[in-house]
Amino acid sequence: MGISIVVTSGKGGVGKTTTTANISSVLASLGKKVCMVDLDIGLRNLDAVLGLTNRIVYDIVDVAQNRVVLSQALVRDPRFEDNLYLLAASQFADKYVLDQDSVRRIITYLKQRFDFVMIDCPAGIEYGFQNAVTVADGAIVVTNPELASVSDADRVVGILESMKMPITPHLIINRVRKNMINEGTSMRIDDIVNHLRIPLLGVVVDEDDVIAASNAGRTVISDNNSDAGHSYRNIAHRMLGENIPLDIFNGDKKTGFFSRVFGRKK
Amino acid sequence: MSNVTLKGSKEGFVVIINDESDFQQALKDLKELILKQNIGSADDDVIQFTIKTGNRLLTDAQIKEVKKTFTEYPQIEIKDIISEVDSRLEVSKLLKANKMNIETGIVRSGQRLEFEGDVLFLGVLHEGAQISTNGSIYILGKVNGIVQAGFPDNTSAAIFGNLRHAAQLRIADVIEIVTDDNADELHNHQFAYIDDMHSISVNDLQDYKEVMSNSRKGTV
Repeated sequence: MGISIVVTSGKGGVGKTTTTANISSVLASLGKKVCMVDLDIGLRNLDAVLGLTNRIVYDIVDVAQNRVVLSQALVRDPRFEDNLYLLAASQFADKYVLDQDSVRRIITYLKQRFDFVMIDCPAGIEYGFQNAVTVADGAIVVTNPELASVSDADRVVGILESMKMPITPHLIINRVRKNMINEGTSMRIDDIVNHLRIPLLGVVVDEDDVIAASNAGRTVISDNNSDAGHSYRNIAHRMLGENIPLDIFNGDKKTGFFSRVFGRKK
Repeated sequence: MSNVTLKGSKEGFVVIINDESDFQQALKDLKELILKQNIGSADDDVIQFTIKTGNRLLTDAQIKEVKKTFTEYPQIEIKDIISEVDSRLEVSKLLKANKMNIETGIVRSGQRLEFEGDVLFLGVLHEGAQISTNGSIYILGKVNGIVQAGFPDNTSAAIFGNLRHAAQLRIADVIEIVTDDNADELHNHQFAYIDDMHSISVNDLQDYKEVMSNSRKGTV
C-alpha cells in the first residue's frame, strides 16, 4: 500500500505543478512506482510540463463517471519504463463534476498499485482544494520567498493541520533567488521556516532551466548542472527517509561586485 | 423546625423557608405568617424582606408564586431571594467566565480562536489570525494578528504584554489599528484598556491598578 501526497500552496503560480512533475520523476527514476494525479480540473497542465499531452485519451472525469476503467486512463511516461504514470485532469468538464467520494475511490485504488500517489492540487482553498486534500495522507506545501505566498501558505497549513493527516505537512520553498537572498532583499529562508513552523523538505532556486525544461516538456532532474535539479533529487531522497543535509546557501557564496555588475552566472 | 421562620437581622427582615419542607405547604405557611403580622396602613414605609431558601433552589415558577404572595400586600416587598446552592449550569457558566485559559499553539492565518474568560497566550498568533474572548488577554507569546478582548461589550477588559507587533487591538467595540506611527509607543510590559473617552489607551503595567480604579470612578 502506497501513500498519497498532495502538493498544494494556496497561492497560484508558485510552482505546484513543476514541483509535482520533478519530484515524481526523481522518485520514478529511483525505482519507485509513482502515479501523478492532476486535480486541477479545467486548467490541466501537469501533462504539458511532462510533455505527455498528446498521449492523453481518457481523463479522471471519465473514470469518475465510469466511462472507462482506471487503468485505461493512466498515461505512462515512456522515459521511466513502468514507473511513472499520469492520471490527467479533464480540460473540458466543469470542476464540480468530481465529488469527494469518487476522488477518494480513485486515490484509494491507486494507492494499492503505486508507492507514491502525487496529487497536483488546484490553487485556492475552495472545492477542488478540499477534494484534493481530504483524500491525501500527507501534504507538501510549496511557497515562494515572498509575503503573499507565505501568508497563503500559512492559511493552507492551518487548514491542513485541522485535518489531522497521518503525515504532517512539509514545506518546499521554491523559486528562491540567490542574488536577492545574498543582497538581503528577499525573505530569508530561516524566517519563512520559523514562521510556518513545519518541517522543511527542501529549497529550490529560481532557475531559467526549470522554465525552459517545462516548456520543452522535460524535467530538470537529470541535468547535473542544474541547482534546481539537484534540489529536487535531494527532496525525493529525503521523502524516502534519507538524511540529507539542507543545502541552504548562506552569505558565504556571495558573488563579488564585478560579477554582479557584469551579469549573473547562468 | 417550622416550615417558615421570620427573623430579624442587621440587614433587615429575613424569611427562612425550611429546605426540607413541602413547597406548597411552606407557601401556605408563608401566607399565614404574613397575615399574622400587624401590617400598617398604606402611609407606612414599605418593609423589605430577604427570603432565604437554604439548600433548595426555587424554580422560576416557584419564584413567581412567592412573589405573587407578596404583591398582594403593598406594604411589604421582596428584597432578594437567596439560596445556598446554585444550579450546575449556573456554576459552569461562572467557572467558565472566571477561568484562565492557557493557549500555547500556533494560530494561523484565517483561524479564529474564541474563549470565555481570561486568556494567557503563550503561542504564536500569525498575521491574519485572531484570538477573541470576553475577558482580558495576557500575551507572553508572539502576536502578529488581531487581539480582541472584552468581546462583545466588556469595556473593563484589557490586553497585557507586548502589543507592538499586533495588527489590531480590540477591546469591546473599540478598535485600535497598530501602524508604523503608533507602534513605537507600544512596548513590552504595557497594557491596553478603554479610557474614559471610550478609546483605547496604552499605559505601563505598573500603573494598572491606578488607571483601573480611576476609570471605574469616572464611570460609576
